[in-house]
Amino acid sequence: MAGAVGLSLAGWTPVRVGWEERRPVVTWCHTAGVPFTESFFDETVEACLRNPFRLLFQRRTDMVEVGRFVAEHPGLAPAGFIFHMSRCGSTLVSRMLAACPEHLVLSEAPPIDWVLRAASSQREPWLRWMVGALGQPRGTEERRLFVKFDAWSILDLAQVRRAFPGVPWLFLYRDPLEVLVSHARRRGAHTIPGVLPPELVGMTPAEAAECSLDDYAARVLACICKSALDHQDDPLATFAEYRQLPELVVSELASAWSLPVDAETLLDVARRDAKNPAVPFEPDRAAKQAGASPGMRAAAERWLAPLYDQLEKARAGQ
Amino acid sequence: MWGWCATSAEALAGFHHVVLGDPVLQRELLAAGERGGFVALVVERAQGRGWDVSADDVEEGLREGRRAWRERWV
Repeated sequence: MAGAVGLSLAGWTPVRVGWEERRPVVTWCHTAGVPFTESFFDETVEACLRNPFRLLFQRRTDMVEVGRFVAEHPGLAPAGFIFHMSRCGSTLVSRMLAACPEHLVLSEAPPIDWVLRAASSQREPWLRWMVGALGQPRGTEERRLFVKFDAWSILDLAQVRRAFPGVPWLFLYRDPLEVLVSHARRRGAHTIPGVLPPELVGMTPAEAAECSLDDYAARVLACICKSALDHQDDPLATFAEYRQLPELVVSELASAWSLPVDAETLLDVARRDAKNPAVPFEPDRAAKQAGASPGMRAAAERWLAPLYDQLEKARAGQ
Repeated sequence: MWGWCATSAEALAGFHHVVLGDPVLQRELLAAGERGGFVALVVERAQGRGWDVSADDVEEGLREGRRAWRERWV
């Protein structure tokens, strides 16, 4: 492979993992000097690949090579993990944290998702190696690493906790009806039947195939919320509701995670749309509440309302 | 270094390996910037090291890289 012994991986970042002949193969992109400032990891990689050198000259290694690289270049230690039910302000939190020059934030990096979903007994070391490889400092100022996981990754929270004991984590949630309305307008991958294995989200294949899209989305979100609640007694957990944003980041979260932050700099980020910072932020709670169909209201009431109440109790009991 | 290659794909793969081991060459190719200039520079540097790489080979490599990235979810 191109990542043979002697060819340094410093300045390169894993961007993709796949199985080839039952072995994981990691593709790396040259990213030296590139700050990861876009809202999502893949957006930064897409920008990198516009340079033809980075598109043509990528590297491929096995997972052992990732481990060897991290042994010599450990990467930044994770200072906090962000889990969420989707469409609930998690991108805002990650962008606010990223506004601090001492912070490196990885937002929904597919190589991490791949490792968490890999059918392998090696997931735990692979996860540490992958976070280490992705968490290499880009410049000279970064001191702390934050990882925002995909929404469904909370189902693997126990695995993450074993790989990284001692790292505090946040679970963000929102009024379920507003989340369902958001997915009805633009479906997240995890709310589309067939993308996630039905058994992973507590359904049989027949149930997944027969229920409405709103019901399916609600049941997936319910599975996510239940997984978070299973860990509500973890002293490293912080539960937060969307309406606490953005102030939560510079107050409770900064305190819980012992982060020295410039509140004004971070709060300034919240004035822009987190997913499209070119436009100003527009509150949309009222519009989403008003835009909910009867089917969405029934799905939210049946599958999510009791869990939302439990999340609110967990948050109040912190 | 001179490399005998049965196919142009092997030539590009051989030069690919040379590039990955040469940080100076990497910086030069990275700085080439826009596609046309980059393709010409890759051909020049590859052939200067004995790898019979053509502009078509490089363009195909770029298309393959873009395809692999686009199809990463498949």
